[in-house]
Amino acid sequence: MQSNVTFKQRLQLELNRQLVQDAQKTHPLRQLFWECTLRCNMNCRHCGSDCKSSSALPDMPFADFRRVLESVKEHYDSHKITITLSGGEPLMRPDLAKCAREIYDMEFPWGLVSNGWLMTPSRIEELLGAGLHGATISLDGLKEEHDWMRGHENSFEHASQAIRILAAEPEIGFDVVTCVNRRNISQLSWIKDYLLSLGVKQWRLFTVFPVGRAANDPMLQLTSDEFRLLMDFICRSRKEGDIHTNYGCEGFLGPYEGKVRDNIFTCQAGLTVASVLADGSISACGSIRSDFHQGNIYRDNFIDVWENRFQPYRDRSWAKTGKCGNCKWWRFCEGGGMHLRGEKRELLLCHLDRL
Amino acid sequence: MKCKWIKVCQWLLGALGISASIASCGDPLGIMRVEYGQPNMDYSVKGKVVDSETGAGVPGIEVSHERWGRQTDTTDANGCFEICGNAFPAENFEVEITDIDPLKDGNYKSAQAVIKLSQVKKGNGHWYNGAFEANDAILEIEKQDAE
Repeated sequence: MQSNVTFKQRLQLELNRQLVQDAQKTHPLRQLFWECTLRCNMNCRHCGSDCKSSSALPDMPFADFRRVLESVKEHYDSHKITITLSGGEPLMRPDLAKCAREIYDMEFPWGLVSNGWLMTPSRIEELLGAGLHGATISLDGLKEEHDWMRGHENSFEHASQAIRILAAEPEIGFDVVTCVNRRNISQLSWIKDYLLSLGVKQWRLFTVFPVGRAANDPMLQLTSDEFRLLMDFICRSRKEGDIHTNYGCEGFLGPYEGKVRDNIFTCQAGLTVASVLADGSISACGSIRSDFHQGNIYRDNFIDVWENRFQPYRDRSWAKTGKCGNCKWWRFCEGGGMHLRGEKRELLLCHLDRL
Repeated sequence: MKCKWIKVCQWLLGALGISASIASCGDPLGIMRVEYGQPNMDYSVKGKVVDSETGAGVPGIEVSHERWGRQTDTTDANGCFEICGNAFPAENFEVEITDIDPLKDGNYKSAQAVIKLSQVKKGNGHWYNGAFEANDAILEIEKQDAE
């Protein structure tokens, strides 16, 4: 690994650390995920499901989530908290626009994360009418690679159509996310050209972490050389500036900090991000193991949980063991993303090992 | 004091090229905050529904538009209608044309039409995109075939 950072990077890291420490104390809620369904119409290779949740679990009635929102609105400024509808595939819920309109009427901005399959012009129209604010569509490569990843023939065409529709709505902030793997790593330039041709302005690339189905699939884990290739590609793309490119939020990247993302690495889980999962669990990002859930809306008051629990998220000293114990980057990394922690709170993946 | 220090850190990070760091004190990590609001425009559509054969105005025809809720108007004795409101920005205004009193003024087929809007007032550079209108839309409808 290139172990050195420049003076400028060191300064960025130190300044960001001040902000992180402040956020650990103040933890202003800014993004609330609602896992509105576990049903999904894809069979993705990289699905990060905890493998304990069954899609047989019925969708949460909106009235239950509304009670959470009412409580949140009572305590915080709803205008500053984005509600992100996730799943499963949120568009599998036929009442999604109705739920979303109610969220909007409570003066929360909202967006959704979708695979795009069900995002037809009429559905988009319906969602725009319900105040759609932002969206993320997954596109994991050109046709062959995307369909392979999604386990569904023609999913590429559907995702492309969704992107085209959203690109034609200039007021909607949306980005495309691409899961970079061993099959598409050599095609990043082509994917970029394709996204540009669709009118995409923001592109987020991420790599999978070894959880769920991805844990035992060698095609999904990049080698160190490939991971560096990805970092260099993002650096180049950011300099070229024709599409705003970012690496996902996961993992501390040492010498690449400040170069591949708009921000310095910070795991925002539990600091500014919370989630209400399909079974009512209160957590941070949806991909964090259930061991880190902090409560359940059917038992606990959400505000009480947000204000008074989430300690493992806001004080990471428990993670300073094992290889993190003597790591010189601990000061800035604090044990990496919460989703990279396993059953025994062990670190599943250190991004620095790949650099 | 603490808040000032946080602002200084945010400013310095911004100056060092970390764009997402620029935020208010309440947002220490500079998350890309999405402000509540919705792109919208005011619209006003005036026009006339005419018989496709005779060109005469047809009264009692409902003209409706559904974007943010349903807006409707029924043509007057001269076939004129007017719909106005506020909706998600669009250059085209889709309407449904329905004969709601077929026994009174003849029986007409339902139809759909697209009316092109022109901007008459600029937006505020924020969510409001300005005012758009169409003042002389002519919508033709056909009589039902006699049974």
